[in-house]
Amino acid sequence: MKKPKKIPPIVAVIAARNESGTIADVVRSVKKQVSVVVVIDDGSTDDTGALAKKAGAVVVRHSLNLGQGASLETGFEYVRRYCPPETVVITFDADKQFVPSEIPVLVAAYLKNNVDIVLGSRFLGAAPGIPWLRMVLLQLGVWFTQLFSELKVTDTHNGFRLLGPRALAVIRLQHNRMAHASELLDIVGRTGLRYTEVPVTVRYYSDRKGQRNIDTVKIMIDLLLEKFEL
Amino acid sequence: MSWYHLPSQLFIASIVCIVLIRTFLVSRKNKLSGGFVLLWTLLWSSALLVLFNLDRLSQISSRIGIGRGVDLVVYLALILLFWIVFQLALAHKRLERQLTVAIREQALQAASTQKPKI
Repeated sequence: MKKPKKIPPIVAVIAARNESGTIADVVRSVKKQVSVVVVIDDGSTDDTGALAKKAGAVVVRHSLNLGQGASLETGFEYVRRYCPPETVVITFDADKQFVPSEIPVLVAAYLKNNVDIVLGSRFLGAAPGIPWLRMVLLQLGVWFTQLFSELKVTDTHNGFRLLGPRALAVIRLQHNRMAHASELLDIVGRTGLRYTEVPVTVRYYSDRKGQRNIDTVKIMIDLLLEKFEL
Repeated sequence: MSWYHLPSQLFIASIVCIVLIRTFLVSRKNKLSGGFVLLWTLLWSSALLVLFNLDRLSQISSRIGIGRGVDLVVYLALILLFWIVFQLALAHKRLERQLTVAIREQALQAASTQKPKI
């Protein structure tokens, strides 16, 4: 009889900047699903870091705002340095867009499919309240990423993922801002990391900040600049 | 050469001279690299050369299919400006990376006291 795979330590990495309204709730609900929650306070000017710490997270603070990609890479480096080598990482957003009870879905897919990285997809799952323009831009993002990474994925800018130890060793994000999502897929394509997609829910709130539509243009400029960099 | 252009030529030449004198004064304080001073001086000196050889400039531009000499100067200036903007964008990226590494290292060192118990 095949021995079931042992559940490894799970660390949630959450990048947060000025998220004092939601961070405590997010940390508390994510903490029920993982071993440790690491919040990267990305130069917040409010009490995001203090609230996250009070809710039970390890807080790593950037003294200046660097961007979401840089924050995630800091979180990955924290795990590489201070956590056991078999640790898996869940990347999660601080603004309540993701559903913490779906974390076990990613873990189950990781254990079952023998992959290095599990990618959440709102287009396989659900995206209640998504504005139509955002939907169009995300689809454009899928095509653009497929052009660069040649991966057949259905969602490219979804921050809900699981990285196994091999993915964590290989992926070193260079893009500080939103282009890191395309860069990550680019690395997966180039290095032959094994991946799978699972359906997840991404909720949209009309009164919250989030990725703006103009960010799509910035992401494309960032990716193009990197291609020309010596 | 036409005397008609002389007042504007003298005006532009005086601006170029001010730039060159300023470059010389700043370079004496060792605030600029030798290569930059040479490149900068060559660039502005060639502007002076062109300014007092407008007929020659017109001949060159018509030979390569551009009607007026001034159009050639504008096109070249545009190419130069695009190149400078591109180089600045790349330099900005490199600087941002160095800053990121420094801030990340500082943050991780500060967090070394909060090693997780797994």
